[in-house]
Amino acid sequence: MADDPGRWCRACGTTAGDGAGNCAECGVDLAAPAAGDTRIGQVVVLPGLFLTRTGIVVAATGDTLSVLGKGDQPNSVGAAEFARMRPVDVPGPAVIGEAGRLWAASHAAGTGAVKASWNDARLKTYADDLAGRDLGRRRAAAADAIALGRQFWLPQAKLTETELCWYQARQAALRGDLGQMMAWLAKLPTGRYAVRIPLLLSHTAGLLADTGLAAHAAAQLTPFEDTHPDARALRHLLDPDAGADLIHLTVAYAATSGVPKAVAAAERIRDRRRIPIEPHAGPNTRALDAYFAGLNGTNLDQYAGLLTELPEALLDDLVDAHALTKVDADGTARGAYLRCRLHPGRVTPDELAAAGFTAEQARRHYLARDTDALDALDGADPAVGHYRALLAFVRDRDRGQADDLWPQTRALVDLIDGGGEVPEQLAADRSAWPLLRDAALQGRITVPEHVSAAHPDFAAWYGLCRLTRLVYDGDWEGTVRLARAIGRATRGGPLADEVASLVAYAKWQLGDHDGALAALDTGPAARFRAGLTLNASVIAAEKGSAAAQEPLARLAREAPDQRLRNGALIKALGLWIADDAVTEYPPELAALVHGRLADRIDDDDFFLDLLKFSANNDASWVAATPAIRATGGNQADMVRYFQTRCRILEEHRPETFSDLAEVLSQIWRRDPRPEWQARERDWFADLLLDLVHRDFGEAAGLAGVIEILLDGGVLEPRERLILSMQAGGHLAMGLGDDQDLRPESEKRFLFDPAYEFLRVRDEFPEPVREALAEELGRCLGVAAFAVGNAMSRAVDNLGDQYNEIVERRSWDRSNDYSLSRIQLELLDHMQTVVDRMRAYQVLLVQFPLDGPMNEIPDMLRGQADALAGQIDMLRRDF
Amino acid sequence: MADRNPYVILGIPFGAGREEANLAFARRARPLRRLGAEGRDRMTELTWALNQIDEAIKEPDTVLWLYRIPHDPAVLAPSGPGEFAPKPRPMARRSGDSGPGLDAVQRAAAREHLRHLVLDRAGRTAIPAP
Repeated sequence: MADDPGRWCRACGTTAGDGAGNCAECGVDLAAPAAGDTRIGQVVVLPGLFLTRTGIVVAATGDTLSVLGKGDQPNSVGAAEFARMRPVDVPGPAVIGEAGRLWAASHAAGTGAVKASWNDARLKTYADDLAGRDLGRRRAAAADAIALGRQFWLPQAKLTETELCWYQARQAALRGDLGQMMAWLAKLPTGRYAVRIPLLLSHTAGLLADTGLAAHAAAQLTPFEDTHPDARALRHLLDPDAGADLIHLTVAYAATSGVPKAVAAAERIRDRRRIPIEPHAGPNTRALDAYFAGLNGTNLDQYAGLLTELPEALLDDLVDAHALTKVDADGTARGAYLRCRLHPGRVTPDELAAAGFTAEQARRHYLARDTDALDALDGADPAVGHYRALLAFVRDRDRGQADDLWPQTRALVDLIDGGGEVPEQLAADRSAWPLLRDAALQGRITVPEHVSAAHPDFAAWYGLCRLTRLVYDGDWEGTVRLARAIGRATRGGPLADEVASLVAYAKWQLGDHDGALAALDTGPAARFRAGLTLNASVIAAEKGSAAAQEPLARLAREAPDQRLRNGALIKALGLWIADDAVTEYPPELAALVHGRLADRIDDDDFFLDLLKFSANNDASWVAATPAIRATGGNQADMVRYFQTRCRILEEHRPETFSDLAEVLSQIWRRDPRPEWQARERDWFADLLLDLVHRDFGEAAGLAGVIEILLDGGVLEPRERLILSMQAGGHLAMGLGDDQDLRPESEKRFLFDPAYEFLRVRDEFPEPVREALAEELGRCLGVAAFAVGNAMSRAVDNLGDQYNEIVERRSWDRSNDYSLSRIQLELLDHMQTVVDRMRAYQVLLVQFPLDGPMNEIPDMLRGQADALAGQIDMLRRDF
Repeated sequence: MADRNPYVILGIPFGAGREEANLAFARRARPLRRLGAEGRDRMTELTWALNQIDEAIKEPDTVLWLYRIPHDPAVLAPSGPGEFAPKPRPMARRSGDSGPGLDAVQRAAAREHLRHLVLDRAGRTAIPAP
């Protein structure tokens, strides 16, 4: 055998036959590389008197060994003594023969790996001598020289080139250098050196990892494949394109393994039967086994991962065999295709596109009535043409493309357009009923008895259409009569509900409100049906808010459409507001509103409607409740504002108009400003305008509120001017006997707005300008009158003080200077009063004044002139 | 008589759109020309109804002041699968004969098995003596 070292010729690589001797092919001795005497080359520790040293056996004769220690002459050592010596390991590559061991020791001593003091030249002489003694030793020495990097010695081996190549290849394999191994093997003669087979086999994994090396190895194995199963198997493994019958080759090779499971697996693969799956089984093996399992009835829905290696045709087999019934989306085109084959209704548009499933795309676009999308599809697909034609018919009764319809559909289309008696085919197809609706409502079709009998659901639906037609025709009595006749056929459900709704409508039109409501049967105990309850609310609303409250409340609670729920609640509130017969806020409505405000409301307008309604009609609840749930900053502002508005109405709470003005001013500065604020600003401004238009002096307390609104920039120009000067007038008229208007209040509430008006008066339209001028003039006049009185009192007081000083100066000469200064200050104060009087007088003459007010400017001017003259005289005297 | 209902006057289902209302108006107005004064009154009513649907009813779904006929839109236009509301049909098989594919997978499985056998043998094979 190739791996039997004694039976092949290393010189030429042929298999030598049955024994030792010489090669029949080339005549060279078949001797294998010889290890020789294994004691030669052993390094041992030589005992010494004081020191120990290492020695190496360089020759052996019987029980006597020659050990080279220090120097160049070996010492003789008996075998028994040698056996007691401690051996020394020589590091380096494995070697075979005597010379190789000596060379290895020499190299180790040279590198210091082994401490030795022998004569290295002498040692090498021994080695060379041993290496050349016979062919077996030369062969061993050649292999060892290659291992030790002593290629320069190889010519002395006198071996064939190919033999040396073999040793080189083997040594490269030992090093794991597969590239070098293949390079040396390539130099061997083709078809010889079968020993290379186990060498390559031992490196199968490395060769499989490198396609280039694998190809070279496969080529080298080819000549041996007929005689060596390993070579055949390895070659076909390394070369996927080797072309042999891989299946039978695998079966044959498995048979050489002696492993029953391996043989069984190979045979089942060959026979296309279920395969026993071992942990090492590859993905194709697993996929093939799953495929067989599926065809044999196993459901593979949970094993899609095993099927990834199967080609599409095999997957189609599994789909056709119902072994696959569902597949999860995996983002691949193949997954999309499978999903389109298995459950097209659940496939995404992207998957449809990936699978190229145009028919389903067309169907969906048709159902969505999306003409543009249908037009965008490839018209060459018959399904696209069919759905385009069907959509044209369904939407516009356009039969222009009817030839593109599938035959069965085309037949139904023809029947629909036929009118007259409805055939069974249409009655049996619910999707056709909507297309018959208009004809049924307009009385253009009839249903033969046998069709009604065969399709009772259709007959009931048709009866409902007839009943609806009577309602459209205003035949109320006929409606009630026919309803009795067809009521039994509807057998409950939506059709029966609709019959009841039509009867209720007819009775309502006949003036029978109670009968109509009874027909609808939407009481609290009845099952909720949004449409019927809504219809009941429409009828009940005519009877008053109380009657409509119950159906509207049910709608507000139970309607599936949020907009309908909100609308029902608002309508119930509106009906109550408009109903003079019910004065108290119904607790049921209040509970509904409270419940809604406690829940999240995304619609700010609806939230505001409920909150404002509650503020107007349920203020104590709004003021007290913490249960209103605001969603977002805008709703939070609404709650803050309206709660403050409600709280100022309650005497036991600390909140005042100033707090409301403060809240309003803060929200007013929001950017963007909420729309609802403008309405509340108007409301608040109107309220203040109402409150200030009373006897001057009574609303002096609102000056602070007005000042907050002025600071917040909340008021419109007209409101600002009126409220400012009204505040000034009220403040002035509210002064006590010893009080005067503070200069800053006088400026802010009187002089500034008065001058502003004079400056911008032309910006107001005529009727407004005139009314404004009159109102502001009235405020200014009232203030001037009140302030004038206060100034008169001040002048009197100053005059008294002045006279006292004059009298004192007559006797208190020591303080004359300081007294004279006080006199001057008093005169300055009097001059200030004169200036204020003139300021009022100058302004007043620019405003229209009514009645007694007309005299105030002259009165002020007279007082001012008199006082000014007196001051001049006193100054001159002084 | 209770509140007028524009949909009932025109004879169309509640929530019908402007196009359907226009068609219904034309259909109902046509015979009125022969009726004289009565026809004019009826025409006024139809015109009012059409105007209501055109202008006053923006979102029928949220209208609460009109009696709904039908109370449920699905009653007069029932849904159900059929030729005019087709159910999805599975995509047709696009692959042909599965024989070549099966051959390929069988070969691939054999190769996997051979690989296992060879590697197993390799693991038990030492580098030969020189």
